[in-house]
Amino acid sequence: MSPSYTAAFETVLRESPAVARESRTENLNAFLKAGFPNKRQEDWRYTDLSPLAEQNFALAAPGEIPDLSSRFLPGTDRLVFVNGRFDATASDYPPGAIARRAEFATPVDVFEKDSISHLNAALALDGLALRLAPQTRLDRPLHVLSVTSPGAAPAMSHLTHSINLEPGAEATVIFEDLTHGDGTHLLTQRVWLRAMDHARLNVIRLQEHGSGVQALTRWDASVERNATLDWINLDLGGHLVRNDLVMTLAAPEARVNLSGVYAPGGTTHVDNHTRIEHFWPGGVSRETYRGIVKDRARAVFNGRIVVHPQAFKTDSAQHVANLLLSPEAEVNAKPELQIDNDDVRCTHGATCGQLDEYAIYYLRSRGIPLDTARRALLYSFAREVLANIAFEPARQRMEQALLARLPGTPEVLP
Amino acid sequence: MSTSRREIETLLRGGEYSAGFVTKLDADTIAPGLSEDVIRFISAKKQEPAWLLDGRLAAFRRWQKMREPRWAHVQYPQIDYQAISYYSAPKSLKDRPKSLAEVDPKLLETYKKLGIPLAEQERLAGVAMDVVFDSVSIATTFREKLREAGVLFCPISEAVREYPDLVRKYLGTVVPPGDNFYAALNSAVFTDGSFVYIPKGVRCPMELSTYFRINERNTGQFERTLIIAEEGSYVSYLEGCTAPQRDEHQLHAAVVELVALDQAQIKYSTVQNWYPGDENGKGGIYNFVTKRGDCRGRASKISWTQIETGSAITWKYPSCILRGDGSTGEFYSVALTHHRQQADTGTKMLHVGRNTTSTIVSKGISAGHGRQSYRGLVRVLPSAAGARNYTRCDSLLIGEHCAANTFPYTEVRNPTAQLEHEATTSKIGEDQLYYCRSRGISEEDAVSMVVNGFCKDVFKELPMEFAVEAQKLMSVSLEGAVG
Repeated sequence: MSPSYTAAFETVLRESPAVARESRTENLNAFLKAGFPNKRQEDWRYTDLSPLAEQNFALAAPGEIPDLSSRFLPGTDRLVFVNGRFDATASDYPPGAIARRAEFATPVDVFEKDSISHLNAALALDGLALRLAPQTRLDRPLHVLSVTSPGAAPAMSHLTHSINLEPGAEATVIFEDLTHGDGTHLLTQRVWLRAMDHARLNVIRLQEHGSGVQALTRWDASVERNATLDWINLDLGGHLVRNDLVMTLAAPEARVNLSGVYAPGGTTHVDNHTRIEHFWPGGVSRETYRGIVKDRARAVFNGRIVVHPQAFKTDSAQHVANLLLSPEAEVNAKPELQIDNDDVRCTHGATCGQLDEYAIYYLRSRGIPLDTARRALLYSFAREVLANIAFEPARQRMEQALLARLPGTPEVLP
Repeated sequence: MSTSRREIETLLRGGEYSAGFVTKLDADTIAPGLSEDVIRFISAKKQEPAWLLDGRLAAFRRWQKMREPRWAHVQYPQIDYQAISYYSAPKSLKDRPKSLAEVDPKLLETYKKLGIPLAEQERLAGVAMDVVFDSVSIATTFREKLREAGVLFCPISEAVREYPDLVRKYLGTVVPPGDNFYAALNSAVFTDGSFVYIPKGVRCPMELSTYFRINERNTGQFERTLIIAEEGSYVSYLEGCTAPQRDEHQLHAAVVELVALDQAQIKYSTVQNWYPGDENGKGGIYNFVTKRGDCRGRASKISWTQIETGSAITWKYPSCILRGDGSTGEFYSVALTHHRQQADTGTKMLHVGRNTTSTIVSKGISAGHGRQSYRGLVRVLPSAAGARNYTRCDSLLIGEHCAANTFPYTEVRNPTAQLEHEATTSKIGEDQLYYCRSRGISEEDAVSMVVNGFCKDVFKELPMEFAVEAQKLMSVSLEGAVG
């Protein structure tokens, strides 16, 4: 293991309050013991992180970033993090429910951790900490911008976010990850979500990292009685992107809607690993993913649905569809069902193919050029997921971002 | 015995394992344990040429360095490979019988008990049969008639002696000795199995069939089957298996290799009814099998059909390597787990050639404390332009303690490939059961009807006689699952 991780830890330890040191040390030791996962582990069969162990990443210094105002979403409050640190000048939010992790001395850490989570817990200094009191509502959606600005030398940054909705609370949070610069950067993020009874949480995420960024994000969610979590993700950039989701339906009648689009190009490797755990009766989960893979990109999807013995009347459906656009692109998809009781209804489906030639033919016969026809079909393929974003400015931002990445000449679509 | 009589008897036995008897025969069994000497002993017993012994020893040395795989979704105690006897032959067969008439009448009785038409084969016609009892092949019927057509069908130990060039050319080319832990073990100690060779342009005039039985205590069965279909030929091959009811677990680690050359077709059907253990999971066979077909030729086709109702643990993935352009692979499976049975089964389809197609239909039924997993891999290599796959896997759950898992892997590296995968898991339909009950059909019959309907897509792929047997097997295996 490269000594840079321990060196970064020393720096972090100096900055963090005494109470947090013990837990940080434990986490670092757990990480050093487990190391980075490699291909021999089933969950990492297609994504090998072991090369990271030999790379030297210094803890990123607060970076210089250009004006971000074009990225601001109208009608939102805003938190901006640059290289894992809070940026006060670009942020704008009312005090109260919205806070930063750095403002709390001891982090409460309830979720099980893999080795990346240990690394994150050892090194993350900041992040969002949102807590809503019962029956309250976040007036405006919250926009969390995380910017990495890689310098000449490889650097790393880490963020831990938490969202805690008490019974009956409601919130919409938009995470946007972007990069300024082309250098090598490692970014780990952990996000804890908790929606207590009857709460409604809406999470939207747009990932547009630069081609030198390795972004590892772990999401842990606990969804409780009659609560709903809607989670939508769009992955566009990055060098190596891994999203690990563990969504737990932790009380009866919980509901989780997961969906995502990945459209990697270049040599991007994007891996979405999702796990939905049904522990209680009456849970409902829906999962829809769409992949558009071009150039020499590689996409991995692994969706596991686990229905535990007590989770009667579980209703679960999962679907993943992929389009392969180039001879060197690759898709590895694995939808999994793991069911331990008999009173359930679970389905999953996975497809991989190309655009429907008849659909293209139809559009061309109506005088639409080939290029436009293909783009229109690709766009509508992904829109099945993106159309579910209720917050209009976020939906537009994501659709535009996707359109800019589709092959062919960008033009205005209706 | 008439069918209805047999059914009544089965019912009287309360749906217990009907093939669970032991035949008391003097057997020639070597002491448990595995070493190079044991392998030399087996090889000498079978009068094998040196190249085969060398191959066995090489596989054994390799096996010693390998670790037992643990990734399957099954649980069982550590197997002691030194406690197994690797060779057992009924003693009276030391001098091989020249014809059926010379076969030990006790053995024939065994087969009669199992309902295998061996002697009466001539009358029933249509199925030529090879019977493997513990480690040796007992009798192969219809050989003369097959030879007329040019078809070679005999025990593999005999093929090694009589057609060494053919065996040497193909043995271990589909499943190399180092392929996996159990294949390596099999390559080292395999005892017998069937050998089939269909010459160019020949359509095998009858269904070929092998019946396997483990009889002796503390023995393992390691059979090896090799089927070669030359250009433009066709063969349909069936295998059935049973074992006596015993308290301890017994290991069955077979290897089956199929080779289909240009435009050849091989249809391989299995009805696996090894002893599954009692309802508390005591005893039963560990069925860890490697089966693979190689579509080497253009437009060749290999089709696997399996009905898995027996074994304490079933762990196998009959696979197809679709190498030839336009070749086709098929996999139809029904797996039933009841009581404490566990199954981790599925298939692998490797698309290498252009315009290759594969179809996978898997039906899993879990009852009682049964656990089962479908595990499948569809891999499309960059060379496989126009590859096409359709996968459908459904699981039916009966009883609140059962479990069903689905792990389908798809790996696509060609943009012109089209893959579809669909899976459902659900409880047996209460409305359907209610409907049957309201028509005066007993609950058990109703369950059996629903299950048979659920499996219809697979049963229709089986040869006629087997389809009937499979349906009966399902009903017997499911007895006591409801109510």
